[in-house]
Amino acid sequence: MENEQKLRNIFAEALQINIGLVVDDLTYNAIPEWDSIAHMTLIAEIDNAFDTMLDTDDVLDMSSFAKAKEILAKYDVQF
Amino acid sequence: MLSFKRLAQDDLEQVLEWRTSEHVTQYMYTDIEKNIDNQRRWFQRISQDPSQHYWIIQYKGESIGLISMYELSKLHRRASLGFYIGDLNYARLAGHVHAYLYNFAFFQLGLNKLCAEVMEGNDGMMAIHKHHGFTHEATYKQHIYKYDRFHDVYYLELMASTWLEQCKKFHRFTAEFAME
Repeated sequence: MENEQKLRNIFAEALQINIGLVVDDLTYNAIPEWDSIAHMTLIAEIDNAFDTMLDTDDVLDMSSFAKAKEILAKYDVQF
Repeated sequence: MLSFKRLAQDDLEQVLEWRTSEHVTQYMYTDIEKNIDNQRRWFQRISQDPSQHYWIIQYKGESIGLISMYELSKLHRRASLGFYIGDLNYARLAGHVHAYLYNFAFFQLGLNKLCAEVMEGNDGMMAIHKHHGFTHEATYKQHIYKYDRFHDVYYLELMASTWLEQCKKFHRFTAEFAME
């Protein structure tokens, strides 16, 4: 599975939303499902799936789906 | 980067502001008066109590919340926990803070167990604790009276053995926690 689809699945599962809602401008707090607790689940699932260890700056910076791809690229995840 | 600064006198106004904000006080056992003199008296009391330790959570030097250990028993090697993010701009870090204290508690202090109490309805805090290996051991039914009704309180525990064996992914989060 290509990485973008994999990340899309992770967002949908962690936020418990329809995968059709996972688009580039899906943003933290823009939907009630993406709150600080869901964010914790999201980070954990990203770390597990991509074998990353996101640092604190990146945990805080991950404010949208687009940003998530940008951040993961720094960890050598290709999109 | 996260760091943890021992609570000091000059933090009290900020802590009082956070403690009396709606998102923090709603799941505390009591609502307190926004009174700095009371806050100073509380600080005097806890400063003289070796079983209680409070730290300001800082992100790149900016104060964002409070984390604490209380009922610390060196004899029984356990302590209870308290936590909140005061500045909601940093709410995304809520699930990212606790591991630092747990590593300090288990690897530096040699504690055997950490305990937590969570008020009914605080689903976010329950999720954070379970994410870090806590198990829900008991429910204190109708334990707190607030907002004209009784609330259950959930009691959770995290054993050192669980942290050691099942929470390895969190072991890299280390920081200093001054005890004096």
